Parts: sequence; C-alpha cells; structure tokens
Amino acid sequence: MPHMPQRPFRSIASVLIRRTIVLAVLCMLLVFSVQSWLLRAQHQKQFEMAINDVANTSVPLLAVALWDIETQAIAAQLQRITQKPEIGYARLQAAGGQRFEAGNPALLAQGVSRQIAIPSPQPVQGASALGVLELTGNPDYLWQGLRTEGLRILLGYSLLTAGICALIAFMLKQLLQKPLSTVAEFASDVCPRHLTTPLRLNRPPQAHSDEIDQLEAGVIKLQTALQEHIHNLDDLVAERTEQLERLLEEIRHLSVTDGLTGTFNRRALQDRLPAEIDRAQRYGRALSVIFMDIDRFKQFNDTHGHALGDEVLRNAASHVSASLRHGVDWVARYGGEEFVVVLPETELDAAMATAQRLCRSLPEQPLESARVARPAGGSVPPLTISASFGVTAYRAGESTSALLARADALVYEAKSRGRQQVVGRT
Amino acid sequence: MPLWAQAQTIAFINPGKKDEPFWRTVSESMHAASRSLGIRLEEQFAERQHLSTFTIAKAIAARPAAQRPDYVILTNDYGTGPELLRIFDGTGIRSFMAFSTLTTPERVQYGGPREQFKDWIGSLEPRAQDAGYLTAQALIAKGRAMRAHGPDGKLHLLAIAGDRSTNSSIQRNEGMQRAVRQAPDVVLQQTVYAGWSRAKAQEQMGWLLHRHPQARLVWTGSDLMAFGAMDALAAAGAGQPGSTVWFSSVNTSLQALQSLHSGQLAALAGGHFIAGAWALVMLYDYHHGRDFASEGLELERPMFTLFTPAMARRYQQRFGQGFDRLDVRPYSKVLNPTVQRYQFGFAQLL
Repeated sequence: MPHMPQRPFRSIASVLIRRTIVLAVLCMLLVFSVQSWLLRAQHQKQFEMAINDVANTSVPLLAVALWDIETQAIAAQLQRITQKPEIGYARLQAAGGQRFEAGNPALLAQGVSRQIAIPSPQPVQGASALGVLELTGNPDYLWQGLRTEGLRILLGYSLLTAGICALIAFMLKQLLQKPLSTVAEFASDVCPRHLTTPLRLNRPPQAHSDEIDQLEAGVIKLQTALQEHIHNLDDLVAERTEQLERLLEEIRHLSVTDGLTGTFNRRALQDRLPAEIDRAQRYGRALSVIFMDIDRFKQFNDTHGHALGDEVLRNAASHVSASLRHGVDWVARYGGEEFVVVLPETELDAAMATAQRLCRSLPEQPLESARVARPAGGSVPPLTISASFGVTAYRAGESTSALLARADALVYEAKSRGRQQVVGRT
Repeated sequence: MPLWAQAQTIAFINPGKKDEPFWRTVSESMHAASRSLGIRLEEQFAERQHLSTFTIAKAIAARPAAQRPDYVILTNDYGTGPELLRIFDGTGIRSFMAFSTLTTPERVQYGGPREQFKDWIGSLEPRAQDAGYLTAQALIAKGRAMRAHGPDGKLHLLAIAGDRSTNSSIQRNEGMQRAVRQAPDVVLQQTVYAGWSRAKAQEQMGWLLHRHPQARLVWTGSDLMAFGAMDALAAAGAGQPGSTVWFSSVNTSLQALQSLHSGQLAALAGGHFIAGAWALVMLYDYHHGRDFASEGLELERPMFTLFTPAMARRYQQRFGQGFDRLDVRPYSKVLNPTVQRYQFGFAQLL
C-alpha cells in the first residue's frame, strides 16, 4: 500500500465554518455599507424634515416669543429645537443684534446649515423679519445611527452565523464525521480475516438516502467484490496447486522412472533400495534382489537397430513387471540392459524361483514389432530375447552397494556359465 | 371662653419678595394695621416663586389645630388662587383673597366665596383698572403737551406690563387700553410682559427701542419695571426720561415718589398697597360678628390715587419712615357703629 504524505488534518466542518464566517463577514460588510449609504440619505432627508418641522412648529412660537421679547422662552424654544436628534446647533440672530444659541457651536464648522427667517407676527416699520434662525445638522446623530445599525447588523449576523456554524458542526458531525470516521476506521482495519465483517454505521433510519448511504453501499459492494475476488483467488490457487501437484507428481515419477521402459531408474533404485534394506534390517525381514541382464543386447542392437533394441528393453521390462507381486516387488533399470528386481519379504529360494520363472518366460515373449524385417514367405524364427539372472539375499548389516555388487557378480557368473540362466547365492 | 377673648390670628402669604418695594409696603402697612386692631399677624414671603406659595400653604394647613391661624389672606398671583383655596378648604382656616381674586373663568369653574370652597369667605380688590387707566391718561396728556408725536402725527406708546394671568395685572392693562381707545391720536405699539422684574423690563426695553424707534411714551405696570426700562434707555443712549421719553408707573415706593418729583416719571398711581390693611379691617369685623356680606362677598374698591408731586411729598412725610402712624380703627364697623359702609380709598389717609 503506497504511503500517503503526512498532511495536517483539518475537518470539513472547520473548513465549512471558516468559509461560512468569511462569507458572513463579507455579507455583513456589504449590507453595512449599503445600510450606511441608505442611512446617510435617510438622515439627509430626516434633517430636511426636521428643518421643515421646526419651520412649521417652532418658528411661529419663536416669532411670538421674539415679538413678546420673552428671552427665556426663546432660549427654551432653541433648547427644544436642539433636542431634536437631527439638529446639533441652533442660533437665532435677532433683528436688534441679540443672539441666542443652543447646542454645540463646534458643529457649525462641520455640519450642514439651513437658515430660516422669522417673520414678525405684526407689521413693524422697516423690518421684514424679527430675526434669522440658523440650524446646523448633527453629524453625531448619523454616527450614532450608523453605530446602532452596525451593532444591530453585527449582532444579527453573528447570531445567524453562530447558528449556521453550530448547525454545520452538528450536521457534519452527525451526518459526515461519525460515519466517515467509522468508514475510515473500518477501511484501515480491513484484512482478509475481517473482510466478511459487514460495515455498520448505525445511522438512524431516514426517509431519503444520501451520499453516506451511497458510500456505505459502495463499501459493502467493494467488500463483496473483494470477498468474491479472494474467493476466486482461492479457487484459482487450488486449481494451480493441483496442477502443480500433478506436475510435481509427474516430475517425481519422471525423476524415478526410466523413460524408456517405465520402470524405476537407477536414481530411484538408489533412493528406494536403502529404505528397503533399512526396513529389512529394522524388522529382521528377508529381502532379495534379482539382477537381470539382457543377453547379447549390444549385438542385437547393432543387428536390428536401436528402435528394436529399445522395444526389446520395453518388452523385457513390462514382462518382468507383470510377473511380480504388485505393490510389493519392484523393478529398476540399472544400466543399459540391466535391471534390478527388488523383492521385499522374500527369501532367497523364493527369489530364485521367481528368477527361474522369468528366465523361462522371457524368451517366450514375442516381439510384436513391425519393424522387424521379415523376408516374405520366409520362415524366419521370431526374434526372442533371453536374460541372465543373479539372485542374492540381503545380509544383515550390509550396504546397498555391497548387496548390488554381489548380485552383479552373480549375473556375471551367469553370463560366464553360458547365459540364460539363474545364479543365486546368499 | 368667647372667641374674641383670644387674640385673632391671621396668616398672610405674601407673593412678593422681601426687598420688593410694593410688597414690602404691603407688609409694613398690614403689620401696622394688625397692631392697631390687636390682631396677631403672621406673614410668609413666597419670593415670587409661585410654587412655593403652595408649600407654605400646605405647611400652614398641616399644623396641629392649636397652632393654626384663624384666617389666611391669599392673593391670586399667577393663577395660584384656586389651588391655595383648595389647600385650605375644610381645614377650618378661613381664606380671604386680597389684592387679586379669582379671574372670571376661574370663578366659572370654582364658584365664588362660600360656594364650592366653603371656607373662602370673601375678597377685596383695589380697582386695578384705575391704576392703568389713570396713569395712561396722564401719560398721554403729557405726551400731547410735550409734542411727542411721531412723524405720522401719532403718539406712539409702549406698554411694559406685569404678567398675563394675575387679575390685578390684567385689570391694570385693561385700564391702560381703555385710555388708549379713548385717545384717537395714540398708537399702542406693543405690550410686553416683564413679570414685575426690573431686569427683564430693562432687557425688553432694549429690544423695544430698536424695534419701535418712534415710540416716546412708555407705560409701565409697576415702579420696578419703569426703572428697568429707564436703565435700558440710559444704556442705549436713546434719550432722557422726562425730556425725550416719558414714563408712567404704579406704586408708591420711595424711589418712585422721588422720580415723580424729579420729573423722570410723568405719571404715578399708587396707594392700593392699603388693600392688605383694609382686608384686616374686614376680617376683624367678621371675626367680631359683623359679616361684610351686607356689602358683598367680593368687594372691588377704588384705592389707586394718581399722585401729584404735592401728594407725593405728603405721603413721604406721613409714611416715609414707616406706617406707625397708620390707624385703621376708625374704618371698622365693629369699633365704629356709625360706619355703615367701608371707606376703602387711600387719599383720605394722606
């Protein structure tokens, strides 16, 4: 499994919450700037309305107070005018030079000002107005409004954002984090042994399925597929193993079988014979060995060709094999035309009898080869083969090679006596 | 023990200030009258703070019965009368209104003496119209004599009145207006209300000089307001009282009498301060069994006198050092069985 590079973990919820907060702040700023702009316009209008209001309500009263020279009433009236939040400073310049003011004179420099002439309630000679009222807006009122609005927006958005973030956190925890963590844990715990364990998210039942359900289904599908895949692999492995075993068996067979005759080969003999000797030695059983050598085989080969020679060898081998106790006695090709017959649990005389029987019956085996050229109409006697036999029994404690050497010597003895005979000795 | 065996106690809530010439004169003349009648007079000044009259009244009404006065003399300055009457009604202290009684609309609402307010036994007012009428008439005559006409051939008059709500003030203004109506050559330019205050009158006069430069006659409702207006004239350098601008006023303060002498005041009416003393006479008689109901529960009597310089001299000789020489006993019906009708003028005292 390729290892992923280690990156710091950050949950989707925290990313979403961050994004939400950023978005909320941006929205808030946007709304606040729009609100500020609207508020500004509104305040302008409010100031104008306040001016109109003053012109309609306070000015007549001021006119009367000015006419009646009620300076306290004038001052009180100005105070009342400046109590309007839109108006920060009011100054009344009377026709006689007297001046009244209320509010903050510093605003005169920064605020918007309007002038209203105060008409005389009674005609006066040479004077059109009793005085001029100058009203200055209150920038603080706008700031205060903006502050209030800003706070309102901030509070509203904060609450909304907090709510949304809480909801996101909760929903994601419930809907995503737990199931995903479970899936992740499950996936990291998955191993062939646990593969059959189904994924369980334990989610409350819902009317609709969602991505997590899809994920769950996907995981289950993956699990099933993996399981099937593993299962198939098992079958495949079993099949291949069987094939291999067959092959091995074949190889093993080939490795101990002589390719030409189908008997054990020499290597098999060298493997098996010591085991037989061991057994005989351990249990004190009898064991005999027959050494068989096809007579004049070289000559035959030269005369009739190798193919026929081979057939001779095959025939001899199959004949010998057929005449033995199946599953007990066995034959191995020792050399070119030499065979060793191993007879476990067999005393020398019984081995001798077997050898005699083979000696007699071998030549009677016809050579069924079409390749033997026969002159037409000629009564050529069929080709026969014979063999010389050396028989010996195992002597307690002797080695394989000693046993074989003795049997070999006995064959040699049989050859020298004129072939096609059995020589046996313990 | 008969009632009269005990000294009769009367409380007076003086609406003015202790240092206000007119109300000080009222105070002194009442104390002199109470001494001559053997009345125990208790006086408290509201110092022109009309809300404090209620405080004073409530404190008097809240006293234990033994310490309460038999009578209380009230004024209806700034419309405080009905509330004062309400405070004392049902306490057993009998109320009497002097100088100014309930206005006509107030009377419609609250009724007259001994009606809604059972303990309100009556009132005595100087005929305030006289003060306004007499001084305005004399001022107009002076203007005509001095040829104080404007370019339009009219006499331009300014009026500095006391207040808009006190009955006596309204009556004085009404008297002035009546005199103006009777004089076709006079234009009343404007009436302002200085609230009996010298400072406010000075301030308003400053404005008026600028607003009505052609006005040469100034009618004032009280001596202090006249002096305030003269101060403004001097401050503006707009003329001389008695030579380019003529003033009339009301009240017999020492300074007012001296100004009449020097010619700074063209006309002065006064003497109505005596209403307090006359009220004591009525209450003395009432207390001793002679109810004034036979003459009327609410008396309005001419007390204002238009002073000549000679009268002013006589007044100063007689009362310049105080009112020790004031003896009101000859005017009581209880003490003088021959008196059939109260003689509540002022000139007879000089």
